[in-house]
Amino acid sequence: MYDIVTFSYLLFPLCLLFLGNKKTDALSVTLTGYGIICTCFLFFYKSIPRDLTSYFQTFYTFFEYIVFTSIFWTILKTKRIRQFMVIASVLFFAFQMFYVFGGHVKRLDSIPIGIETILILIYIISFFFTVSRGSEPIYNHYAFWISVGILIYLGGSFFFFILFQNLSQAEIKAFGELTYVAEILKNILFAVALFIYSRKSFEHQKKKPDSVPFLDMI
Amino acid sequence: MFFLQTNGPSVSTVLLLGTAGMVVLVVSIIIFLIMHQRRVLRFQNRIAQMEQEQQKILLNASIKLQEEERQRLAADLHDDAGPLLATARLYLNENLVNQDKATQLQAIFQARQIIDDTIQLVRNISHSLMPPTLKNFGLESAINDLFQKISGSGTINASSRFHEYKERLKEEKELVIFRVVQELINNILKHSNSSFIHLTQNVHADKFYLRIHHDGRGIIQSDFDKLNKSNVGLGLKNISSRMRLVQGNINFEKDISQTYYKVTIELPKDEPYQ
Repeated sequence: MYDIVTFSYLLFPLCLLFLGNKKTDALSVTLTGYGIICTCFLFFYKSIPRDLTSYFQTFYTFFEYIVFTSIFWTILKTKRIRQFMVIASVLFFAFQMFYVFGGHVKRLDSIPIGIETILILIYIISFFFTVSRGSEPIYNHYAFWISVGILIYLGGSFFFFILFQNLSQAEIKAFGELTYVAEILKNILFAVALFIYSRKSFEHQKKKPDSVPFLDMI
Repeated sequence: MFFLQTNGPSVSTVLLLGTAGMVVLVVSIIIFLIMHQRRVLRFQNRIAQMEQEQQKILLNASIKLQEEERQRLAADLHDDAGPLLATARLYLNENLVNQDKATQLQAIFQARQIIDDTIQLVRNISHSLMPPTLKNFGLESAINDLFQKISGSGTINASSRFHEYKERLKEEKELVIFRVVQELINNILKHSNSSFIHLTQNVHADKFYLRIHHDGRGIIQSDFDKLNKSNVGLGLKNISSRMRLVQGNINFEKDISQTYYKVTIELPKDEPYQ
């Protein structure tokens, strides 16, 4: 199951390769980078020395937070929410540094993960509030599928990560499978979002005429 | 989060219940969001449809009124001007040269009189289409003129007073307002059975106000809105369209003392007329 999760992150660069939209825009670059880095991280996680795992976990948590935040940054254009994002990110990073270098990470950085979950939930709620007032059905928006994916992922793994310190190895192995399912679902929904995004930008490109018709006839 | 860090066999229960709860919450939020947005979109579509229907009704009313105006014009020319000119022609036929001088002179004078009457008739038709007073002297003069004519008929006491009209509105706006006032006055004369009509004008906080008072049978805003949506009340629909054109508002109400009705026209003031 762990291997399936690891390689499910390659869905994003594969989607981009086969969908035909080779534009290097923010979302495509972000998700491709996210997919490749997560694949590498999960692939090499088991071979990381034990004394360095806390740093790698902190890095992974912050990297995931930054990826999700950058996606919502491009969607939420209100000044207030953007200011909140910047302040929250700075404070979150500072807290993470304190948490990891203060030796608080025992088996997993549970508290930073919990804070990350809450912050991302706030961004998702702001996005839902913004888009629900629009004139298009919400499920036509690519960010809706990204939000649903994140919600399923965070919802399915929140309690697991929070209670991680108190779980036995057997419990971790058993309940960890649930989080893998949530993670795979998240990656599938991210791929759906990428597909919707590519289709919309392809249709938008198709509509633009290259030249004014009927005036270039000799 | 610190309170959740408990030991013992309840940890897995907490985890399972918590995860299940989160998943149920997520699914509920998504379903609620989709259903809520669907309801909002349906409502917005309905509003857009109703607006479109209303636009159609107003457009049809506008076209109908235009046709009625053309028919009236055609009738005036055909029934009045036509016979007059035909009569004048009768007096000026070829046999006149065989008549004696006195008969000839009489025929010429008769023809001239008829032609004069025809000229006056055509002038009246032209004035009713576009009063020259409005173009040359402005809204105040045109309305004062109109009210004087009404008062002069002796059937009703009509007066008007402009308190602050040093700077004229744009020509197009003046014409629209004049037509609206004309239509309102016509309706009052036809339907209200009032003994007086009084018009006042003033300016307040960058808005131009015209108010018409009368003591007959009138309508209030809800009646106006109802008639606008129905198939009758062509003139009122026209008023509505014209007010929309000048980005103005019209309000029908009964005075607090319940003795007379008032119609208030409000529109944004222009830059000074050039």
